[in-house]
Amino acid sequence: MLPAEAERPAPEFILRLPEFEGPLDLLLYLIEKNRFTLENLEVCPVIDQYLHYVEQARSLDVSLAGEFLEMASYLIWLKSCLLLPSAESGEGGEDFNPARELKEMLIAYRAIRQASLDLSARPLLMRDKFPRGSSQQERDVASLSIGALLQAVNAIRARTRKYVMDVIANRFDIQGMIERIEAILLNRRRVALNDVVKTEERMELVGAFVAALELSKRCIVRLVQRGLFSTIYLMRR
Amino acid sequence: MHTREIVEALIFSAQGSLPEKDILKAVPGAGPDDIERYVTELNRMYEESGRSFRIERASSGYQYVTREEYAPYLKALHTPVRLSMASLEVLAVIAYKGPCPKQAIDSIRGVDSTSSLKSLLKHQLIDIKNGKPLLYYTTSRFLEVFGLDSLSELPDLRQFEEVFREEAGNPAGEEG
Repeated sequence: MLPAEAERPAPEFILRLPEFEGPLDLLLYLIEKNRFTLENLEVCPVIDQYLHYVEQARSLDVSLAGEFLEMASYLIWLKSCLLLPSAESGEGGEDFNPARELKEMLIAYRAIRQASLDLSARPLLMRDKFPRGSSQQERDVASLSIGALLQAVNAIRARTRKYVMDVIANRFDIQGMIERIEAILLNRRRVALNDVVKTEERMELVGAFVAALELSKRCIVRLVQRGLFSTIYLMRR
Repeated sequence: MHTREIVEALIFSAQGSLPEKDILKAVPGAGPDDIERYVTELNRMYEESGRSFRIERASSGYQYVTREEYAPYLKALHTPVRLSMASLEVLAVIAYKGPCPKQAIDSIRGVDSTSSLKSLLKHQLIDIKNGKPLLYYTTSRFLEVFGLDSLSELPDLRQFEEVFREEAGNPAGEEG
């Protein structure tokens, strides 16, 4: 399926892109394809090919994870470091070796990838061998982990969030709130925003605040607040 | 009644892996070496009589599992575990580097691992240690599923790194 030449990848290669686990996976693929090893690695051609593939993927509207683009910008920076004569090579220059940093990243990632293949090659429970009672689905509550509990809480939250929003959506009515504030200000010169609301409900307070902004816009009241988080007063103009 | 058969009955009766310490508690006078010897004997008997199962040691305990050659038939009855390549990578990072934060996992893999972490949590192969940041670690279920007695049984990660370096025809640690 894959073209043998490195320079001109056929479009079907690009369609394979999402199968890479990530930018490091793609980089390792390119290194292997070029028959480079980490020690004789020529970074620049690999960077060029990486950028070429990312560019092609974008032109073909293949959605790429952000990490691929992040890696692309890192590689462009890396290449510029390699091509430009290093100014700092005099002092502290020994530590500054961006190509080595990339190699170390690739070594660490490849080791993990090998380790995961090694894990997968083991005889797995529920794949290659089955314990007694495998068909029993229910597990005791006591055997569940914190992680499972947190997931369940999140699932419930996600499921109920919608209904909570529905109830609150009708809780306040800005026009009604404006009328209420106007009624209060018939007899008084000023009123605190907190005194306008009848309940402690946050959504009612939001309604009062929106109403206050509206009245301020209509030049009916002036809003005064002495400091951050202090009481907001509505003054009749 | 032989102690060996008592051990057999204990392991047979357990749901999941039976911790070695529970066996030791139930069989006074026996030590871990005795249990191991009984299990070896039992397994030899099962093998000689052509049974489809054996006792396996994992996660500091013992459990009955079917022999691998029966897997194709058992797969029809049970839903087999399927882990994506991404999930396996995340699992490997946690097994070797854990307990570790998500950020460490992401930085080794160069990609976001959120969905793999979710799937591994669902399979109870990993769990979360409370704290800031949250730390992920592999569970005893992980050891059971992968047939490991403890994490120290995993092959050395450096071994995998060195394979890569050696392919380059250069010993580890040397810089070109």
